Amino acid sequence: MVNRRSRRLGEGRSPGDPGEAGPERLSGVAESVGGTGETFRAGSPAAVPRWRARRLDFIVVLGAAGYAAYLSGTLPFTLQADIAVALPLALVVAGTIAVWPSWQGVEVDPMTVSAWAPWAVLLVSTVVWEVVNYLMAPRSEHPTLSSVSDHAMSSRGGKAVFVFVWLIAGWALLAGWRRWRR
Amino acid sequence: MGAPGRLAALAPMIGWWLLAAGFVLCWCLSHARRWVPTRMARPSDVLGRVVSVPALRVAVLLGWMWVGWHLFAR
Repeated sequence: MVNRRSRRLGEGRSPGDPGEAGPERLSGVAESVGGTGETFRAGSPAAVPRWRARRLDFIVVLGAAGYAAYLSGTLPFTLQADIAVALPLALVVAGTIAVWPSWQGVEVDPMTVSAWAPWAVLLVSTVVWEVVNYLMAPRSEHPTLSSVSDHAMSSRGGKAVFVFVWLIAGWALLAGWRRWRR
Repeated sequence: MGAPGRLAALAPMIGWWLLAAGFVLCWCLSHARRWVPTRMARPSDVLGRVVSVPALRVAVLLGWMWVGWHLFAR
């Protein structure tokens, strides 16, 4: 039961996993569990060996940490900061354009409402709370996400953490798209 | 300022902390599916579902770009 559920939610099925099941087997699980008629994603046909994907991730994490250390030393509203931020933006946009054609006919996992509802509730609550605080004053008593992040980024170390998380999120988008496509 | 007044003044920050705790709790639950009987999806599962729609894929990318530009450049 646990295995069925974890397969349904996409657990442990990155390309190259030793235990990765083929498309026929995964489709069979879909029918037996939910009968939704949707098809499981089968992962990339040209599966990247897991150790190679891990090595790439490791290199990216190291690079992101170094770049975060550099970018955290720039001052906003300067040309240096503009260029430093624009570079990863351009890379991720270029990567997105490069992988876009492979998304034709992409298939995704079926997902029950109970699986994603908690995340939706949290996101909507965050947006509502942000708007409520934004409309109230003074800002010191009603902090928004911007003012909280400004406070957290008042030190270089704090800003470096934020930059690192942002860079990794950008990489996750690209890497996820690379893995999710068929 | 009495205790109710102090609590009211702290409410916005308490709200942010509760939301942060909620995100951490959901993240932990979604990664503990082998041990906890939950059907909660991992963030990457949800994101994978969202970006399978081209329009939402563009929206997520633009959101990521805006966050970086807003926080670190301008």
